[in-house]
Parts: sequence; C-alpha cells; structure tokens
Amino acid sequence: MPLEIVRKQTPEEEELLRKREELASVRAALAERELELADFRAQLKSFEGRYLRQVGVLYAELDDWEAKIAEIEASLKPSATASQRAQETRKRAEETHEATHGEASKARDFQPSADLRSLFREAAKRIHPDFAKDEADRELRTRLMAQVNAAYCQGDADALQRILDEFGNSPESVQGEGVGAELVRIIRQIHQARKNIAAIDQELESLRASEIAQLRQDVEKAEKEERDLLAELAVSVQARIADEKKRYDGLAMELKKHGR
Amino acid sequence: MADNHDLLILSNRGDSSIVLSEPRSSLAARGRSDASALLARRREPAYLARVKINGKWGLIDTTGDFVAEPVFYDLRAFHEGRAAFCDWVGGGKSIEQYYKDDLTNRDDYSWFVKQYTFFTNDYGPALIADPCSWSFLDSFGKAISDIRFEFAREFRDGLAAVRFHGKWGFIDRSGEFSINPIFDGVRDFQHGLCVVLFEEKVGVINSKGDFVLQPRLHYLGEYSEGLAPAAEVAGRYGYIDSNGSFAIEPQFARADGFHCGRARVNDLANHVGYINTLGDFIYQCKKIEEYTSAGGMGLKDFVNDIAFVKLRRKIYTHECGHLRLVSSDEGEEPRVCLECSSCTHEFCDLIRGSFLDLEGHSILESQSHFLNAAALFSEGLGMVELTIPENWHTFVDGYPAWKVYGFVDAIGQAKIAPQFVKATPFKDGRAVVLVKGVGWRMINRNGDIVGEGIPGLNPNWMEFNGFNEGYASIMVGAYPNEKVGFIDSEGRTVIEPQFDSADGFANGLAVVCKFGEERQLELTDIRENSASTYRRDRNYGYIDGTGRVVIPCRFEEARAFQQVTT
Repeated sequence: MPLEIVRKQTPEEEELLRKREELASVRAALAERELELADFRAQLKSFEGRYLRQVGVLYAELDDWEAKIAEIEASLKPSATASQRAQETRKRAEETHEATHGEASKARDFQPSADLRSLFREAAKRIHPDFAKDEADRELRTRLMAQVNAAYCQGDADALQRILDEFGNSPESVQGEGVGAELVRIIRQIHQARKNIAAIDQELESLRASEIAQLRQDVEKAEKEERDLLAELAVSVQARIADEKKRYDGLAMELKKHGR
Repeated sequence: MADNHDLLILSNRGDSSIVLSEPRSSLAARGRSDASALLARRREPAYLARVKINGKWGLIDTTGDFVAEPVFYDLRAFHEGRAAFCDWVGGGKSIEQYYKDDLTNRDDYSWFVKQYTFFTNDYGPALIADPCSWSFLDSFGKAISDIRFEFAREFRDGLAAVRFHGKWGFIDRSGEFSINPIFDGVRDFQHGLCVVLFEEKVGVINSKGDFVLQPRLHYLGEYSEGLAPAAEVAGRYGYIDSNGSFAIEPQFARADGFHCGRARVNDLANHVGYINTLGDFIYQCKKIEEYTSAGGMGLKDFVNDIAFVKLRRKIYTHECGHLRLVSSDEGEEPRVCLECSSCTHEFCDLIRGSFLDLEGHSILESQSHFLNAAALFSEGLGMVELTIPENWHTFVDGYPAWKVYGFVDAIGQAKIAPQFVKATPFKDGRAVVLVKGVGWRMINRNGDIVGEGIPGLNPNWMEFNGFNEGYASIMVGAYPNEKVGFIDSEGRTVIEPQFDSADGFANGLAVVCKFGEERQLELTDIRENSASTYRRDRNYGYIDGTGRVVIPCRFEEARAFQQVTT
C-alpha cells in the first residue's frame, strides 16, 4: 500500500466543494431556463412582426377609415359627443399606425442554430448577473447579459462569442478569496439563481398568457388544420375596410349635398 | 418615442411582467378576438357529393361523413355555393290522395300540375311536394334561411329564381328577395338579363328587377349571337335584336337560337331547315317525314361551322347486288335497278346522316351514295359510316360486315379511312375501334393504334365517354357478367374491371356501383306502372385513382363530388 499524505479538508472546505457542485448544477438549470425564455421571446417577436405586417397594417387602415367616418359624421351632425368620438377614433388610428409601422413590424423569422443555442447556454452560465460577487460585478454582468440576449435574438453568434471572450479576460472574472467568504457568496448565488429560475417560470407563464402568444397559439392550431389564420384574418379585415370605404363615400356625398 | 418592443428582449426578472406596449397588446387582442370568430366557423368542405340513402338525399364529404343528413326528398347540384333542396313532400301523400283530400273543388289537372312539384321515388307511388318546401343549402350543409319556397332553381349570377305564393321572383345568396315575386314565369339570368312572363306577356328585366324590354311579346327565346327568337302572336316566330326590334320578321312556325350565324327553323308548312341572319334558308328538308322520322334528332345546331343532320332515307337492294339509295326529292320509288334493270330484292329504311357546311352543302364525298355521317363532329373529326354492297348481309364476329367506320375532317376529307368494324367518336384525342381480326384498340387522331389493346371488351359496349382526370371507364365481359374498370390514355388497364357500373372520375374520386342479389319485391314496393316484380339493389360508393373503395358502396344513389365554391 503506497504511502499517501492527504491533507484533511476542513468542514468549511467540504461544504464549499458541495456548494460549488450545487452551484454548477443550478447554473446549468438557470442557463437552460434563460435559453427557453430567450427562445420564446424571440419567437414571439418574430410572430408579432409577421402579424403586424400581414394584419396589423390592415387594422391601421381600418382604424383610419373609422376615424375619417367619425370626423365626417361630426361634421354632418355636430355635437359634443360626435366631436369626442372623432377625437378618440383618430387617436386610436394614430396609435395603431404607430404600433404597426414601428421596429416591431420588422422582426423576421427566428431559427436559432445549435451552435448559437450552445453559445447562449455558455454565456448564461458564465455571465449571468446572479453569479456576481459584488454590486459592480452585477452591473457589468447585467449589461453583458442584455447584450447576450440581443445577440441571440439577432442570431449573431460572433457577437455572442465576442462577449464571452471579453468577459473571460476581464479582471472582474478572476476568483480568489478566503473559503468562508467564497462559501457565503456561493450560497447567496445559489439562492439568487433559484429565485431567478422561479421568476423565469413566472415570466414564461405571463408571456404565454399574453394576447400575442395566444394569437400565435391559435395560428399554430389552425395550421394543423391546413388553415392560414393570418391570411383569413387579413381577408376578413380587408372586407371590413371595403365596407367602411363604401360607408365613407356615402357620407362624403351627403356632406357634399349639404355644401360643407 | 422608444420602441417598446425592446422591452421584450431586454426584460429581466424584476422588470419583466408584461412586455408589449398597450397599443400593440391591444392590436394583438383585436386579432385574437377576430381569429377566434374565424376559428369558431367550421372548416368549409372543399368537395361534396349528393347521396341517397333510405329514399332521402344528403351531402357527404370526401371522408364519407354526412355534412347534411339524408333528410331531403330532392337535392340538386351545387351552383355558386348553393344547392336547392326540398325537405317536405306533403306528408308523403300520393298525388291522387292529395288531389282527393285537398283539391276536391279543382278539376283542372293542368292547374294542379303547374302549382306543385311532383316526385316519384323508387319504392312507392308518386309523391307531391308541399307548396312551400324548397330552399338552399350552403357549403356547410346548412339551410341558408328558414323560409321555404314552392320551387327553387339554381343560382346564376348571384340570383336564384324561386316561386312564392304562385309568383316567381329572385333571391340572393342569403335567401333574401332581391327581386320581389311578381312574375308568372321566369328563365334564369344570363349576362345580367332575364326573360320573364308578366301579365301574360313576355319581357326582359335586369338584375335590379327593372324592365329593359317591356312585356309585350307572346314568346321570347334566349339571345344568342345578338338575336333571340320571338313572337308577338302564337305560331309566328321571328328574331329580335338587343333593342327589341324584329331583325327577322315573324314568318316561321318554329324558331331556335342562332349558332355560327345559322338557326334551325320550321317554315309555315313545317319544313325544317337552317336560315342565315337575313332569314334566308340555306338548307331545307323537302319532306316533313325526313326530319320527323329521325327520332327527333334530325337537325343539330351548327358547331364550329358544321352541322350534323340525320334524315330518313330508303335503300334498295336488287337481285343483281346493286344498291340504290332513294334521295328525298325523288317522287317515285324505283322498283327496278337503274343500272341493270333487275328487280328490287328488298328495301329498308335508313336513318342517314350528313355533315353540312355553312352554305348547307354536305361536306361528305358526293360520289358515293353510301357514305353516311354516323355521329356528331367531335374534336374536329366526324365519324362516318361506309356501306360496302358486296358484304351485304354478311357478318364478322357478330357485326355487320357491310358497314365500316372511319373519320373525316372539317372539309370532308377522309382523315382516317373507313376500315373499322365498330368505332366510337373521338374524346380527349382518343377513339376506341374494333379492328377486323385484331380486336379492340385505341387510336389517336392520326389513326395510329395506341397501346396494346383492350382485352375482353364487351362487344356491346360502345359508350366511350373519354377521359376524366386521365381515366376512361370500359366494360368487359358479356351479359350478365359485365364488369366496369378503367384504362389510361395508352389503353392500359389501370383499375381492374370489378364494378357493375361506374361514372367518370371527378375531383379524384369516381362513383362505382355494385349490384346486390336479385330479389322479388313485395307488392307494396312496386310502382304502379312497373311490370317487373324483381329487382337488384344497386349500392353506390366511391373509389380513388388506385381503385381502392374509399367510401363503401352503401348508397342507393350517388353523384360525383363537386368542388363547392362560395
């Protein structure tokens, strides 16, 4: 039997080892949840872009015709109620127009590659603010994590790699303190990470309950029946626009008759 | 204004809750609400077929499921996304009983016929419809409204003629009256105009119901090529133009529509012929019996500047073997052969056909008295029959050897020389012919044989209906074991003959029929005018292009699948 000289670990060191393992496991779980959340957000963003381009713009047009009709009705039969209605419909038309023609409508299809997903997991494990050792570190990680989310959503693997490289070289990432302090920090990190996993679950639940997610679910359900629900919606709104145009033309003629 | 969309991406715990801006969230909610309404609507079936089961008609989809349960006494084909139906037939009373019960004070049977719609079904006496039992099904198999009409016709140009309280009007696709029921009779709308009978005079209305031709005529036919047959008094027909003025003065006992600038008319002596747009005859039969004896099929409309006429002729055979065809303008029937003066052996009546050009001249070669048009021009080729005197009264394979068949083109030239024992007109570039000593073959428009032949073809089968979706039905075997299968355009059997009857393919499916065992009918099952007491049930179903029965043969009647358009 070879002679071995083994330093006996202190209870703190043993606990630190266990906590490090636990932290690694929690980090992995948190990274996975962050990925799930990022995927879901990106898919919703992509779907919302499609919806705004295909149907939203038609709602904007419909609202515009409704505002025009309310305005012309207010001219034909002036009253405080008619005037208020004209203002409200115009405001709604402007809001719809702004919502449908903003950045959101430009979102394209989101199809993340396996590499991109792997990079995101890695970044989430290493950079996540929950694993900050102090407040300054947390601020840095929060900023970097936001960049990670944005790069992932844009499918920019290079940017993700760059963020990871930069983080790896930053002095903030260097470890090295006493066992006791590290143990406390790790316990706090584990606690914070678990809280965050619960928060991610809650956020996913909220997102899934949102109108846009529900609409996406309806569209997917219709796809299984070989129906293009967004196209059907577009046709339906177009028909309403045609009706409103006719109504507007009739009112415009009436207004002309009254010489206004 | 910062785009709130970024919140969706950057949110983290603590500031995450909901991420969309209010206008966008509201926009999504509007879409979802409208989408829910769309989803709630049942998926519109693309194809539907009418089937009859237990004496009632219903609608099935391509899976064989009922879209509309079989509860209708009559159900018509879909037109413009609507199918007329009748769902009540006077409690199933017979005409006679109904007449006795409800119309005892009426002895005018013709009035009775005008007012009601009659039905017969396979198992009982004629039934009579309730005065208001007709409406329309939409493409979901639902009635478009609760209102019922005395009768309903198919939709045309978005309107359907219906009779309501004895008067005709027009409803729109929602079932609302678009033109009130004030007319005594109506035709269907064509190009936005409709011929109507109003206060015993005929006029024309537009789709708003306004008269564009005041009701002043006794009769007005359909417009074709700018002219419509019309009469101000019974028995004197001419043609009016679109202004309602007579372009051809009333001078005919009967007048039909123009086709290729020619119209079929009867003069006041009832001689039938064709006139041009000036009203002059370009062809006329000299004797009434020439036309009337041809089974009513005498003179067909011009199509592609050619008309097919079928007239009665007599043909004599003489002991010398010569044949003699008697033309219409020969007064005396020849009793002796004009060539060798031998005696008449026998004569027979022939229904002889010819093809006419626009000048009324036969395009068949005139030198032979025995070249006869056998069928309408089809796909630019007319089928002709050539009589061969020397084969008189001889038979080959059970077929008369003194007749052979071929095809001519539009100028009367033999495109495919008469050579076949039997032939069918061209359909979809193919004709089926019986080649002497060879058997049944398919030929192309050049007369070339296509494929290997059609083994076992029923010798009496002559109904080549062309190809539907690449398939043509054929019948093989002899009575009583005939079976129907399908061949492709190369003459290959693609679906083995196994059905007792079959219709052409439509929208990927074909109606097929299998006979049940012959059974004796109960007395109550027999129609009063039926002589037979035996019956074989017919069970209809549907097959796909592989011959697989996709909807089992369980219907008493079945119609082809229709694409339902809305």
